[in-house]
Amino acid sequence: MNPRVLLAEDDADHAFFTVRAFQDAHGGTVEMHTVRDGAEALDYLHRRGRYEDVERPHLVVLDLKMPKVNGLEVLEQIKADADLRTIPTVVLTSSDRPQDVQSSYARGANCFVSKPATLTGLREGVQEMARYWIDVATLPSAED
Amino acid sequence: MTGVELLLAAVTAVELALCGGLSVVLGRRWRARPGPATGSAFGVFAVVAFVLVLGLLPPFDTTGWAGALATDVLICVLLTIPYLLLLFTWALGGLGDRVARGATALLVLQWVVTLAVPPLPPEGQSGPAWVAFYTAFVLAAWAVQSLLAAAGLWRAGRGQSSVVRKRMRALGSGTLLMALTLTLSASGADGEPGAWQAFVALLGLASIALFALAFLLPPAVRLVWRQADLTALSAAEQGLMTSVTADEVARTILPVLGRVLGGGGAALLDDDGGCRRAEGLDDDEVRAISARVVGANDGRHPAPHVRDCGDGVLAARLTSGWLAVRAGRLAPVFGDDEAVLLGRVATLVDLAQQRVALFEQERTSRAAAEAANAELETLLYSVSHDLRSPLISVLGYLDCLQQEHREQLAGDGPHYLDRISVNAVYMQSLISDLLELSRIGRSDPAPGRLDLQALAAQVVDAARLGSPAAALHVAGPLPVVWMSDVRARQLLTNLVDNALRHGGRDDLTVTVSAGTDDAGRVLLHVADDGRGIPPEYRQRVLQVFERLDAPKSSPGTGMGLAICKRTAESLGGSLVVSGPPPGSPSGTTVTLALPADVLADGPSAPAPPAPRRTLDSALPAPEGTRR
Repeated sequence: MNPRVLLAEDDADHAFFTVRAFQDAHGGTVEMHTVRDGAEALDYLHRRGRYEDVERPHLVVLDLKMPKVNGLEVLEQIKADADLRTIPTVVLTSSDRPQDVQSSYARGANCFVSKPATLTGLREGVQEMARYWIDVATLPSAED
Repeated sequence: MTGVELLLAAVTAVELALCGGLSVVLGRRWRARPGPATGSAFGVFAVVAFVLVLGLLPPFDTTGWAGALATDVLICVLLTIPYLLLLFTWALGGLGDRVARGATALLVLQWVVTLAVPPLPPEGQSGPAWVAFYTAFVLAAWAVQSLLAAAGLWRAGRGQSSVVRKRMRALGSGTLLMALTLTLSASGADGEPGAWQAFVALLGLASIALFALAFLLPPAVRLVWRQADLTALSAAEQGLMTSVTADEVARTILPVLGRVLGGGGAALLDDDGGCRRAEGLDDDEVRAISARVVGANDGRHPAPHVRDCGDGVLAARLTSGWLAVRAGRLAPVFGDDEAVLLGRVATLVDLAQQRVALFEQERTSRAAAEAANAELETLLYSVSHDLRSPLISVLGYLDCLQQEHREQLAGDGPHYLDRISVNAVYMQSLISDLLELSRIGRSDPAPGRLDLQALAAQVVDAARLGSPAAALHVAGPLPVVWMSDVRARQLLTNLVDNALRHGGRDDLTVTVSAGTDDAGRVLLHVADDGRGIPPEYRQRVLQVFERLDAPKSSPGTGMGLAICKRTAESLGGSLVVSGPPPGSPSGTTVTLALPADVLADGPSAPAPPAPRRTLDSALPAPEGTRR
C-alpha cells in the first residue's frame, strides 16, 4: 500500500515542487493530496464535505502561513483530536522565527522544517525529509 | 550717681538703641511687605521705643484732668504691647483666630477700665484697694497674653528651617522675659535704686536683646544656626551636578529646599504653571501656589530672579519654568534670607536642568536613530525573506524547462533560457546575502570556545575543492578564541572565497595567518598574491554591493566583504583592506581585528561543532535559551 501524504500549502508553485520532490524521493509511489488552506485541510482530515470519501493520510505536511485557518490552528486541532493526533505532522514553512519553532513544537508538531532558501536546497531538503518519513520512519497505520 | 544708677542709665541707652534700630528695620519691612505680621512687629517696638523715650523726658504733671488723661492714654498705649505681640504670633499662624478676637476684646476692656477708673495715685503712694485690683488685672492680662504668644511662637517655629525655628524661640523667650520684667518691676520695692532694680533692668535688656537677635540676626549667628541646613543643601547641590534626568533634579533638590526654607513644600513648575513635580504639598496647595506664581509673573525679570508672590510663596524664575517654595508666613518678617538662598539654589537648578535637557535631547536622538536602524533592518529582513519564495518558484520552473523542454526550443531559445537562469541564480544570491546581512547582530549564535587553527584548516580544505589550482596555506599558530563557530566559519570562508574570486587568476597563493597588535587585539590576516585592489578602492569594497568587476562576471554578489565587516563590527572589531603581503609584488591583505577579550580565557565550555545543514530543520530550543 502506498503511503498517503496530505500537503497543506497555499502557494501552488511551492506545492507543485514539494509534491515533485516527494515523488522523486520515492519513485512516484507516494499518494500526494494537496489542499490550499487550513480550513480545507481540516475538512480533509475530518472527511467533511467534498472530502467525505478520502482516506486518512499517513503523514501531514503543513505550511504555517495559510489563508482562513493558519497552520498552527490546524496543528492544534489535529493534536487535540484523539483520532487524528497519531498522524505525524511536519511543519514545512518559509519562517525561521524562533517563536514559530517554539509554538509549533508546543502544539505537538512532530518536526519543524524551515524551507531552505534556494531551489536546490528546497528540493534536496524536501527529498531528504520525504525519505526520512516514508522510508526510515515507520508511520502509524491509517486504519481508524 | 551711684553704680546702680550708672548701670540703669547704660541699660536704658542700650535698650533705646536696640528698640530704635528694631523699629526702623521692622518699619521698613512693614513698608516693603505690608501685612499683620510685619505691622504688629513694627508696632511693638515703636511703642516700646516711644515709652523708653518718654522715660527720658522730665516727668510730666499727672495732676488735673489733663495729667490724668495723659496718664490713662500712656497706660493704654503700654497695654497694646502684649496685644501686638499676640497679634504678631497670630499673624505667623501660631494662634487661632478665636484667641486673637479674645485678645482684642480684652484690650478694649482694659482700655475702657483704664479710662473709667479715677486717676491713679502718683507713683510711690499707695492708693485705695481698687488700685491693687486694677494693677493685678492689667498684669494678669499682660501675663496671659505673653504666655499665649510665647507658646504660639514656639509652636509656629516647629517644622520651620533651623534659623527660623531658633528665631521663633528667641521671640517666644523675649516675650516671656518682657512679661516677667513688667511683673517684677510692678511688684518691686520702691525707693532708692538697688540690686533688685538693676536685676530687673538687666532682665528687660535681655528681653529686648532676644527680640533684636530674632529680628536683626547677625550674620555670624545665622551662619552657625543655619549650618545643618547648609550642609544638607550643599549635599543636594552636589547631587544636582550629577543628575541626568529632570526627575532626578527635582527629587534631589525639592525635599531639601522645602525643609531649609521652612514651610516644608517646594515645587518645580512649567512656564504656564503646570506642576512638574512637588514635594511636601498636596494638589490643592500646588494649584494655589501655581496660581500665585503665574499671577505675580510680569515677564520682565529673567532667571534667576526671586519674587515674593504673597502668602509666603517665593518663586525663582528659571530659564524654563519656576522653582516655587512655600516659605511659610514667617519668611517676610525675617527679611530676604530665604529669597537669597532660593536664588542661589535656582541658579544651580537652572544649570542642572539645562544639562539634563541636553542629555535628554541626546538620548532621544539616539533612541530615534536606533529605532530607525532597527526598522530598516526589519524591513531588509522581511523584504529579502519574502522575495525568496517567488524566486524559488521561478527557479523551479526554469529547472523544469531546462530538464524537460530545452530541446524543444529553437534558435537562441536555449541561450535565453541560460541567461534567465544565470540572472535568477544571481538574484537568489543577492537576496540570500541581504538576508544574511540583516541577520548579523539580530540573531547572533551563541559564542563558544573555538580553535581558529582547526577552523581555518577546515575552511581552506573546503576552498581547495573549488579552486584546485590555488595554493592555500594556514600559517599558524592561530589562537583559540571565544566566539561563535558559525560566525567565525562564515567570516573565514567569506574572506578566503573573496580572495580566490577576485585574485584574477587560478594559481593564487592565499595565506591565513594571525597576530596581535599593540592594543592586544587579535588580528587575522587573509592574504593573496592576486591582482590587488588599488588603494583608492580599498575602503569602497567593504560597502554593500560594491565590487570592482562587473556583476555576474565572477561569482559573488559584492556583499561578502560587507557581511564580514558587519560581523566584525558586531563582535566589537573591524575589517581593514590593505596592500600585498610582505614579499609579494601584488595582492591584497584583508585583516580582521577582534577585541582582545575574544582570546579564550573565558569559561572553557567546548563549543558544539555546527553541522553543515543541508536541511534547515530546527529543534525546539530548550527552556530558557534563545536561538
